[in-house]
Amino acid sequence: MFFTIVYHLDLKSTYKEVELVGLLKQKDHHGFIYLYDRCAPAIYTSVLQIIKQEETSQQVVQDVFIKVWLTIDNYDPARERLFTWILQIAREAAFDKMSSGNDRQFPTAVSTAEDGISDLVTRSAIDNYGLKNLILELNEEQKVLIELCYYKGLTNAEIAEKLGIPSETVKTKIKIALCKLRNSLELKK
Amino acid sequence: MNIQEYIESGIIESCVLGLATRAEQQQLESMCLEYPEINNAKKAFELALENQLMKDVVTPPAGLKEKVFLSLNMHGVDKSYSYKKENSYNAPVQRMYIWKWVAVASILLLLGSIYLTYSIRDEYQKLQTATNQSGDPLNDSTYFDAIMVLKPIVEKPSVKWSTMVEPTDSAHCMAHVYWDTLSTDTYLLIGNIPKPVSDKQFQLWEISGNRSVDLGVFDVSKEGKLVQMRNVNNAKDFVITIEPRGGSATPTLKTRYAIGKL
Repeated sequence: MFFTIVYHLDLKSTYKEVELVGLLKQKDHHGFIYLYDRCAPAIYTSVLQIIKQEETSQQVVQDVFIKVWLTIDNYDPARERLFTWILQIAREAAFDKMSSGNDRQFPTAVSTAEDGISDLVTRSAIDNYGLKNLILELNEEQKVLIELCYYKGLTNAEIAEKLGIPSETVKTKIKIALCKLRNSLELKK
Repeated sequence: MNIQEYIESGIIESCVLGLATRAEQQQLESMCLEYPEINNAKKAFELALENQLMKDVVTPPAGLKEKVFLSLNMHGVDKSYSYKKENSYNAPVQRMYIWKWVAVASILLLLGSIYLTYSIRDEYQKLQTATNQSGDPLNDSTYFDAIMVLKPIVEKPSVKWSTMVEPTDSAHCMAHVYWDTLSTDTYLLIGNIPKPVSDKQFQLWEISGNRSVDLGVFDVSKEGKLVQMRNVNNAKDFVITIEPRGGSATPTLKTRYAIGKL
């Protein structure tokens, strides 16, 4: 099997985004191996932060990369960066997995409106990575909101119901939290 | 329109992180086309986010890469490799007269591909007719080219899929099951499954609680091929068991060969 043999090679080449997209759209194996090596750790981390269960997260990452391979023709570089596209596929796949079967039972950082804020004080090891690391810089209310919308996939209306505040207020507060996240990212440049 | 206010409204971050509504995303897309400052702000946030997410990571287990690429082999990538376009995006342009031949070749390829598409469709319809006439469409499993058929299936928003793994070793991927929530069509993509002894056959089941639905038997002579199984109205967990040739009425759960959840 060609793929099985090739992926063991340590490919040192680097590609610009436009080159990589070109390779992927041609179904080039080296391009795909490069993509996996570059993106899989960040995608795995993001999925793990949603699902909080290693084995299921691995299955999701596997499904994500298969979907990327099969649907790369749908990717439009003019709309978003390749990583942004893959990250959105990964989040959708993670929520699909969470909403099916026993995976609903995974431990959650926020379980109810009442204990939501206090639960967030308990940090797990994976909170030290990626976006989670930045969220720790938000105030407690903002942490809860981002946790619920980004890591639990709840809509504004669902969050409003959970927290007992108007949907429009949720929307506004989330946007303020997101701006703060952007400022943190800029500071970290 | 205050561009700076729009940039600082949080809409860009909301869209990039996948939190925005479709309408908000469409609005941002048109704003990006109209205002370069907004487009630049969006690009800057995407890049900063990407850098942040790639900087601090949990390294996935080494076996995951192997699993991904084994699955890709199952999805027929070896075949797609030969479909690689000759005039790739960075292919050097040579002399002009070559393009005449390229144009002729392209037309011939186009005609060939149209013929091939109709031939395959015709073959598939013949297979469907033949299997429908036989009474049980699964006695003679309908195999068709994975790449040709799988792509449009996977792209449907209504299709969910499940990775079938060994019950005792979740690292060993055996197959994938695709289930269309609207049409209830069920497909099985056969992976690296060894052949059972001649009087035995694999059987796919959908199991919810105490209820099991027989989705049909299948042979494993064609790895990397897609088999259309029986439809099932509701699907949650799938199981592949080894049964006497021809299949059983109820699953022999002692011989569970692979399991998967939607």
